[in-house]
Amino acid sequence: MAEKMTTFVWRHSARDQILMLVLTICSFPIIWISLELPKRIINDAIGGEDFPRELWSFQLDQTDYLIALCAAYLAAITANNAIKYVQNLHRGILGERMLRRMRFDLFRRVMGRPLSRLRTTSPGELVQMISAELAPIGDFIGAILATPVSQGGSFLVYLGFILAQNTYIGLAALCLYPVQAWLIPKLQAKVVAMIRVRLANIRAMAREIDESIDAATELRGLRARRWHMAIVSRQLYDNYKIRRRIFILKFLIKFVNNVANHLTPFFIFLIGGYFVIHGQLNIGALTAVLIAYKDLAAPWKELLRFYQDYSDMSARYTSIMENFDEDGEPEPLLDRAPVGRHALALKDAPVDGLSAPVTCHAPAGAMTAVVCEDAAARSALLQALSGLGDDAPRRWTASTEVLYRASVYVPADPRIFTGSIRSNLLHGLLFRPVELVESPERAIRGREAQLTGAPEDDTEDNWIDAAESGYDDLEAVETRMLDLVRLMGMEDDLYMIGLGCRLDMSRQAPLADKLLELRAAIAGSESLAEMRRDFIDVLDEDAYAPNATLAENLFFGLPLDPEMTWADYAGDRAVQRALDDAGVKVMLVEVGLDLCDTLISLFEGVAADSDLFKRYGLFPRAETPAIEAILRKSRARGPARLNRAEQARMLAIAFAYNSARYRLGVMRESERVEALLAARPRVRAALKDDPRFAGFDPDAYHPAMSIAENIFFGPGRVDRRDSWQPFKSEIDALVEDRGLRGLILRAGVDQQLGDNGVTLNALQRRKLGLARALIKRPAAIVLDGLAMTESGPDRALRDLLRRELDGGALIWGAASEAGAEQAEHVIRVDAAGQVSQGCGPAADDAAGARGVDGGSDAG
Amino acid sequence: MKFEAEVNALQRTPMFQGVDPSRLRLLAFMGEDRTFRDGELIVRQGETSDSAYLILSGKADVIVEFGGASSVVAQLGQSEVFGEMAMLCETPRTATVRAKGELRTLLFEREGMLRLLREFPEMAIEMSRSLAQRLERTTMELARLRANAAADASSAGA
Repeated sequence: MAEKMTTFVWRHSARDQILMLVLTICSFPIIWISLELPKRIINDAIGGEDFPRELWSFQLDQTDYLIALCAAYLAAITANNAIKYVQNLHRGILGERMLRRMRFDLFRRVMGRPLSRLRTTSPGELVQMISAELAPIGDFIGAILATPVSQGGSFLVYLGFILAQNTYIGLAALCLYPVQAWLIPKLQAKVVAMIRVRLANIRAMAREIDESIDAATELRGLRARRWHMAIVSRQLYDNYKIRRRIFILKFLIKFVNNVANHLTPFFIFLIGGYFVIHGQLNIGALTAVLIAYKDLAAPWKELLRFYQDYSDMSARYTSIMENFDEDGEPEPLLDRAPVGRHALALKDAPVDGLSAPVTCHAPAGAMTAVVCEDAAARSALLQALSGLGDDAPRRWTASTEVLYRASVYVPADPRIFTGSIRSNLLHGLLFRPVELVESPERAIRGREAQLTGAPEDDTEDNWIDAAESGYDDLEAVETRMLDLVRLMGMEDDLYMIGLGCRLDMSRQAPLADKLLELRAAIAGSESLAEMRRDFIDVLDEDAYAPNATLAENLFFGLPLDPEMTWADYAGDRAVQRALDDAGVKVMLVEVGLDLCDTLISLFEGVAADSDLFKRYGLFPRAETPAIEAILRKSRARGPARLNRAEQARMLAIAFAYNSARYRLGVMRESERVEALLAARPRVRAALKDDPRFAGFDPDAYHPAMSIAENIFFGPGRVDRRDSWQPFKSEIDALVEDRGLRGLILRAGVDQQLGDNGVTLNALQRRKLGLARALIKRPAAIVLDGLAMTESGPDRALRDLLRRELDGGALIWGAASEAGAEQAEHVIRVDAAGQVSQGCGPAADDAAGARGVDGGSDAG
Repeated sequence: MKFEAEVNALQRTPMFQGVDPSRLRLLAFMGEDRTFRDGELIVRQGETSDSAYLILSGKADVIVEFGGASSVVAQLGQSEVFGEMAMLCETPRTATVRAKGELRTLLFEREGMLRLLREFPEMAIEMSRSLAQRLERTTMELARLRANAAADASSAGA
């Protein structure tokens, strides 16, 4: 990126800036006309004589002449503003494009940073720079050339016009501008200096906040919370101090401007009035000067602001770009790996934590252990072997030239991306787009990308390259995905996830029918039906299901929108009317009030930021004061007197209440349950034809219930959850018999895992990480921090991986020689950091490995 | 007052003795109902699991398996808590617990318990005090038994 903002702007938008300039220049004559016309109207049309006059061969009397001049005036003003509109629009679009270019370029550079440097990059600081700090710059540079020219030009046009009327008035109007032009830049320079300090301070604060949250566990463990709060508090104070100085200067500048601007009319009235009285100036000209002077202030202000903004924005720009000084142009993304004769090899590669450059290799298809006591150095060496080292293209070779299949590095706690199991498993195949998907917007997107220096890669395209990954087609990838899930022992987990998710009815309607048949079969079998009653809260039109929410019981149905729950409809008019008609609204509001009351007293003394409340409460902790206010109001005036919004809030809380889970006794034994059941038919009838909701029907598949709830027609009973294994086994067998298991697994594969896969435990994440590596069919898998020992499970995992690698190499890190027993080749790092390699203990029967490299070459 | 029976029962458990009742009420709220039929197993010996149970009503047998044979070593009744050690330490279950007749319990999850302890460190201190006292008593008991055994041995040898 260019070091100066102006250079950057000129390089990427010269054409657009010149276009804006031409538009601006076109507007100057129109401005002059719009100033000249009022003078003509007053002097000539209103105060003139010699009528009728001839205008383009038309004879006009005085009134017609006035109308014609006024119409011309209107046209001039319209034309002037139309040009402004086009200019503004163009400026906005250009600014946005430049902003996109800057943002993407910065992100691209960051992504291209060597891993060693990226690890020390603070995400919080980057987000602050890329999102917030750049935004005003984009807006500004949209018209970096047009603004000074148009405002400066307008200023000169107005000034020229005034001077043309009377030189003395013109000079009087001008007299204070030199003072402003001299003083203001001086003050402005100080403001700019402070803006840079402020930006640095804000950035430091972003870093601190980022760190405080990231390191929350340690921070609390060390009882250093107060210290970190003091740091941020101090930074906020510093920010205040800088802002305060900026304010003082900014408003001083404003003060000087205002006084200067108001002194000038004083001179105009005085001098202009004198000339009019003495007949040296006509009244029309004085009026025109006054109008022109009024308009003179606007461009002058804009010019000053432009100057302020210019210094502000260049300071901002420089201060942001300084952070990327070290980033050269990122290495181009490679398609092909440098090929060597080993699975993976390093030649004279620098490795963090090891003193000398390392030369070592892992033979193709062999089991290789990297033995090193120091975990950090081991990790660095394993990463370097995987081709993740800083100068990999020169020092690293792999056995295949298909880069993304050369090796996969798998850490003990692999990062799970936000998305589904499928998107995570296929992540390793997203190397480049292989098939473009045609869409009407494609051409526009491509053009925009070209205009802003962004790649034309589109997330809508098909990125999964089945052929190059060694699969026949996408269906084969799909099959392999499910195979791997099974091999990694995740199938049961996935099955459970699948049971808990909603079917996409547009794609899987046939599965719904089969699930419905299964439901009927369970209900039809005497023994299963009895077990179902024991373990499932089967939905019944005439009964209350304590394991379902209150709203599900009341409406005996669910909203169809997957993003919405009943609580989201508490304020809905149709819903409220239905509740009113059934006469249960006040009772439900009371349930909500009782719930809030109980929860607030239960959580008394719990800190405001606690996650306890988030996990177990029914409303956000921050809302407590508002809820308490509602409670007080209802105690004083009765729940019926709460306003509509307050009632809706209470209804929403009541709707989400699940008696089996919360056990707060707000249903008052069965008193409220009976009232609710009595209201159910009327509420149901009122909302029957509402397309947003669907009622529970024993003979229909409900799209908003999970697969399991549909099979059983009801939620599982919380209190019997621990004993339902025998029942579940029978159902699982039925599911298997009917060929539904695979379909449920496929549904589970698409289920969202939450941010960074929060719904998975550590073991599941690890399995997913391994499956994700295997699906690439890599030439080598590098394990860092897992399967490190000779214990049974570790050995079994390595055997499994080796089998599934199908001729690929397996490399793992071990802390001691004992962990390398199974290896055919061993890379050893001694206590001094010297690297040597040789045959492993298990190499006797692996002649191939020895044949490739017999001795040990020191690194 | 809600959860009164649960709070009373929890207070009688050595681990929760001295803990503020309002905290125990919150703990009781965070618990989950679990019902077991006659003969169903609540926990299995050797299994790793991390929840504790409070018996709300009914009885349960404590069964220890040793050398292939299993025997009922104790019976638990209403308001008794079991599994609290495993909840804190994630150790394998030291015995199997089987429902004798209809059994209603309240289950406390380790995760919820830890959240609560993080929130109220004084509760953790109170709990460690109870546990330490219990350990001290056990240690003294062990010392006494050892001394007795030694005395028996020496008297037998004489």
